[in-house]
Amino acid sequence: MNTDPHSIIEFLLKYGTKKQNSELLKKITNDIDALCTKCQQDRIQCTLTPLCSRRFLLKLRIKSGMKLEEVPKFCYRQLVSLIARDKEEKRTLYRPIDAYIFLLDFLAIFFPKHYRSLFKNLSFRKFEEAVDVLESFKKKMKQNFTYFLTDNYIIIQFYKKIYIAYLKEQYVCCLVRRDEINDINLLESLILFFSTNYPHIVVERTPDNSILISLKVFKNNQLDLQKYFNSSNDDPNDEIPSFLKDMDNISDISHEIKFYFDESDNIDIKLDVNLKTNINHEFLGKQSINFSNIQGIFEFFNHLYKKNREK
Amino acid sequence: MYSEELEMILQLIEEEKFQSAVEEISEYLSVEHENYINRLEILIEKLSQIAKKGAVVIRTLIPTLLKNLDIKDDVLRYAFVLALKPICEKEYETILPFAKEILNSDDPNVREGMLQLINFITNVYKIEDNDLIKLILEKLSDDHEFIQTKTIQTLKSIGKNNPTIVESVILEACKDEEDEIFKEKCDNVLKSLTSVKDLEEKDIEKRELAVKEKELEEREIEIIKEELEYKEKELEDKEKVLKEKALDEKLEQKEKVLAEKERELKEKELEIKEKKLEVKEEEEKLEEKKLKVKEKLLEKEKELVEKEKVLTQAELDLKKKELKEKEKEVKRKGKIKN
Repeated sequence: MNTDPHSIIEFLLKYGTKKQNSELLKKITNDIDALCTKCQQDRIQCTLTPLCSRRFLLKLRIKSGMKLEEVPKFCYRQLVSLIARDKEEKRTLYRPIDAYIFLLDFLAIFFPKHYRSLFKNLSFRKFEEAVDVLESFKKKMKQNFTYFLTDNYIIIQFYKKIYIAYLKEQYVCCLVRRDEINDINLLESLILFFSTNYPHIVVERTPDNSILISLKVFKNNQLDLQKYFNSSNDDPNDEIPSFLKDMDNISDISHEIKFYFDESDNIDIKLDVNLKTNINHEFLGKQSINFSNIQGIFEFFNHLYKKNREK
Repeated sequence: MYSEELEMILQLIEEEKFQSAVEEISEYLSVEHENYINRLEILIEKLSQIAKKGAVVIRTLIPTLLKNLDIKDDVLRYAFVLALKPICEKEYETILPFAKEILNSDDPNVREGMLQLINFITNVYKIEDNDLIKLILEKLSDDHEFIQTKTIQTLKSIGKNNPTIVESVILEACKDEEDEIFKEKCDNVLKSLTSVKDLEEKDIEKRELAVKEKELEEREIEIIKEELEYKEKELEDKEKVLKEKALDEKLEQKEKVLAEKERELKEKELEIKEKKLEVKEEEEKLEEKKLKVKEKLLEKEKELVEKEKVLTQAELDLKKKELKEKEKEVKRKGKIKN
């Protein structure tokens, strides 16, 4: 007798009473705990082949608000070590994409000398002192470290890796890719963070909590648009023009797309995004926007520019 | 850079310059190197390759390798321990003498690593060293829970091949032991050993029963085979008789058919002879007719020849007459002229 996992989710979301759901969730929680205990008993296994794929149960625990002392210690230590190795570009068992660790451990990896004070300053929102440390590291790393600090978040780009530190929750999402963004402020911050590399871009928050991105690409900065509009990428089997593909992707994310040429043949683009995409979620209405979606917008912008755009 | 050094070491092994390879690896693994851990990481990757082609090299290097069980990085250390598995299974005799010293290390990671290596060894070798088993048993009271867990696992592994010796060591240790937690852990191991022993005994009974059953089955099969053979023979005989009968009948039928055919042939021959005679008669008649016709033709030819003769004579006579007349004419004309 096998119960379809989808039917369990459907039951929880649609039919289950509060009591039934609580009973069911208790069972799942017990199973998760038992799995973690079993996994940690064999440390070789836990280190090299954990029983949950890519330690996602740690993410579940951390995101659900557990404290450091409540998460499986040895397993968590492995994850921190993995993120540290990944930062050092050392070989890892897997890439810790969308992995969560606590802010203090993250800071210890990046700022081993100042992590305690930095953690303290960030926790107490003493941003001036925190910025000193961040700036000195930025100076040391030159172009390879950039950050965007807001009241509740720090968005960090280290080489090509993006980390989002949630200051209030005191955890960090590492190598952000498909992690959902559920705060309009974070969405705006991310868009602003990426916008810094683009000339003539305006990012505005609309009264209905959408983000309006307006970009102007001057004619002298444009790439060979005919090629972009009409030809596909390098794949000979792919006949769909790159522009159409980009538009298709953007239309999944943006609720309004305006793309037109002014009288001087400069391109004007206006995109409207919010926390929900236009993609249907299996159970939860529309899918939330994620980091990868935002990256898609800026990749689309990049396609319009010549390789070396002038800022 | 390190990989180049390792490639050179592998080359030495390939050329069977084992002494040089050992020296190079010792130098490569010297703790004085700044990036010792990075060097070790690359060596771990190549360890199986080295072990495959240079067993002598590995044997010599075992003490150096075992020193690295203290790597702080868990991933690297466990990867190293796993990389040592095939070496443990081949070179257990070289590794085991170091076990006691390593098990007494202050570093829990080293102790855990050695316990795991012993686990690997039990896959291929029956550990009977009482002192070593006692020392392992002591680790049930280790300060670290993960060492205790690993110890239980190791004792169970040793006990799989040799339950009696492990059982006696545990029972001896528990005699004067007051620590209930220690005893509980011992019980855990003993239970698994008992089940192993039970399983062994049951296994023997099962095996004996299985042997008897097999014998009976074999005898049954033999009897059935004999019966079948006898029946087969009977059937074969019957088949033979039937076949012979069938053959006789067939022969008779064939003979009849042949006789009939012979008779028919004779009749046909006679008919042919009759027809031939008839044809001959007719041919003779025709010959006669031909001869008669020929005779008639000859007669007619004769007549014709006779007639021709008469005609020729008549013609000759006529010509003679004409000539005489012409002579007369000529004579007459000559007379006139004259």
